[in-house]
Amino acid sequence: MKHLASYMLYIAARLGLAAITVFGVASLVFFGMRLIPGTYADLFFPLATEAERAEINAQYGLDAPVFVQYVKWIGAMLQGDFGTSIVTRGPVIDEVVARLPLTLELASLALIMIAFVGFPLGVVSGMFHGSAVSQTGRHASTLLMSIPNFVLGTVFLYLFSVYSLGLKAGGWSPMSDGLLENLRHALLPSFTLSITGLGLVLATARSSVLGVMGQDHILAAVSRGLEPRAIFTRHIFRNSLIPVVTIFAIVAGYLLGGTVLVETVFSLDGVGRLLVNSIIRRDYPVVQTGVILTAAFFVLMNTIADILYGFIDPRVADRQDG
Amino acid sequence: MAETDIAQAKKAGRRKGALSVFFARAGIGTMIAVALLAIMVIVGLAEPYLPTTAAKAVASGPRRAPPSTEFIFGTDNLGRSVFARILEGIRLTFLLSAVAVFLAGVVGSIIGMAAAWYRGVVDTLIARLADILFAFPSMIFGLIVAAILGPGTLSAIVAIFFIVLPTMVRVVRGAALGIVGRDFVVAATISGASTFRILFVHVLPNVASVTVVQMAYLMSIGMIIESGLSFLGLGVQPPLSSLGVLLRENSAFMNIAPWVVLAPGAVLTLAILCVNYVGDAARSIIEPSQPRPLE
Repeated sequence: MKHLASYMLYIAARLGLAAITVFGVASLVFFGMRLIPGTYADLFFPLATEAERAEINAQYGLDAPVFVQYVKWIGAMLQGDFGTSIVTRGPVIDEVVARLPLTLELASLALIMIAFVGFPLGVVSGMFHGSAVSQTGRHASTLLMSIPNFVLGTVFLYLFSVYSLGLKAGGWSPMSDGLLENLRHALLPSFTLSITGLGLVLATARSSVLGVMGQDHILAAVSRGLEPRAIFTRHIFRNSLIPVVTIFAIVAGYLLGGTVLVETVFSLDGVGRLLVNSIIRRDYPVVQTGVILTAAFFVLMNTIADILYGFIDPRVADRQDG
Repeated sequence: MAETDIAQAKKAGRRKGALSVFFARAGIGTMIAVALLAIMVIVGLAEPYLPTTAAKAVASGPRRAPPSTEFIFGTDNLGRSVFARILEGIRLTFLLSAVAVFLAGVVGSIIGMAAAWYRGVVDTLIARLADILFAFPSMIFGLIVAAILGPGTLSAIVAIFFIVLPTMVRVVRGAALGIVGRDFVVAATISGASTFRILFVHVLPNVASVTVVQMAYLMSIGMIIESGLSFLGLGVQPPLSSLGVLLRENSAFMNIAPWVVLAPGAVLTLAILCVNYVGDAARSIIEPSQPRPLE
């Protein structure tokens, strides 16, 4: 009972920290955007008079002192109002939501590949320690983490424009126009997005299985004469899951923010490219909202990882230090 | 008797220097990585004085010539030697990341040790700030920095510095926390050593190895960020070339002259791979059987 209470306290503390972090990111992006020289009016109406530009700025509340703008914006956001896009003049949230399915699909497919390719390969590579399989797994994970995703994407763009193999490099077809066509466009960019996480999960699963296999209770199980199959499923596999689950949550959080370069290489109109274009166009509210959503997702995933870790290993929750 | 013991201990200690342990345990793969890395660093440093610099000029050869003995990696759309530009790319990609990561290593060590030493409010504040920087999507952060400072080498360095800094702070803080409670630090405190002396004479040498290993990993992250920013057109500006710039400029000609993209892409991957291998080998000596962290 005492343990449950301390555990709830731990979760509450973690969520509080997550909220503070997201608030900090929001402040950083707000003031960062305003440090960029030139406003939307300066960039798009260079021939307008000073008075006309001031009028455009006033329309979007950009004439008020920066700190007043900041307080107003935070207040509006807390009520769920993310503001109006300066460029399209529509609600920011519509702009983001229109592009979210593409980015979410890329990230989800990447995560599926990581779970069903990276994880099993890591477990196998860890089980056959010292063999060629194990060494291959180690080198493969380092290689996967060393290829910048835009390099792989560019190479794919070349290879698959020459030999299509039924896959499309570049462009997009939404899921509503048929799942097969959609997957033909989505597979290459999502694999490109997945490689860093693939390498990381492979390496983590591998070293985790290796670590568990070296422990005394495995030796004890072997000497009791248990079936190898039972030793694997009951003793090795479950124990080695602990670090993998947490790294998996962290990778998931990181994927959503990692789509910028992949979307650029494959000319995809997702959240990453929206953010890039909005920075260039000084569309403050869109950048702010996009960054906050990405960071909030990242922080949430990290928090879940922390909580899972505390759940699996209660000593973590008891320690309670930042 | 006691003196010979000390002499022997000193001798033994000398024999097990960090570098000799590194090479004694390194496999053939690590050796190759170290050698390639050394070649790349030397070539990068010497690049302005190499005879290849002339071939970076426009119309040094025919346009989009395929790889040949004269132009190992062929020429680009303006008749420049891709090989010569890759050498300059290696120089800038390594140099920018190394400067940024080194600065982050120095600043991160000081901040991390301060957090571990003062604990309390200072520690909490530093931890929160590190969390905030860490949660900020890194490529978007780089873009905003480039927009504020103007695209170029300075913004690339500043962006890499702030992107890798929180990791450095966390790692040093974690390592320093295990040191500040040890008896020799308590003894130093009792004998009246200043905070400065305790941190730099007693704590720093004990966290230095972890810091160096982390810097190797952050170096690879720095190279990925630098080339990514340059690929988006916001890092190094043409006609200077970093490996990312080459990929950006040349990707339009990939279908007619694939070597202009494949060569810099392969060199960039190889460079990062070597850095990672050396980092892995160094880590396995200091912290055996630990997986590498993300970023």
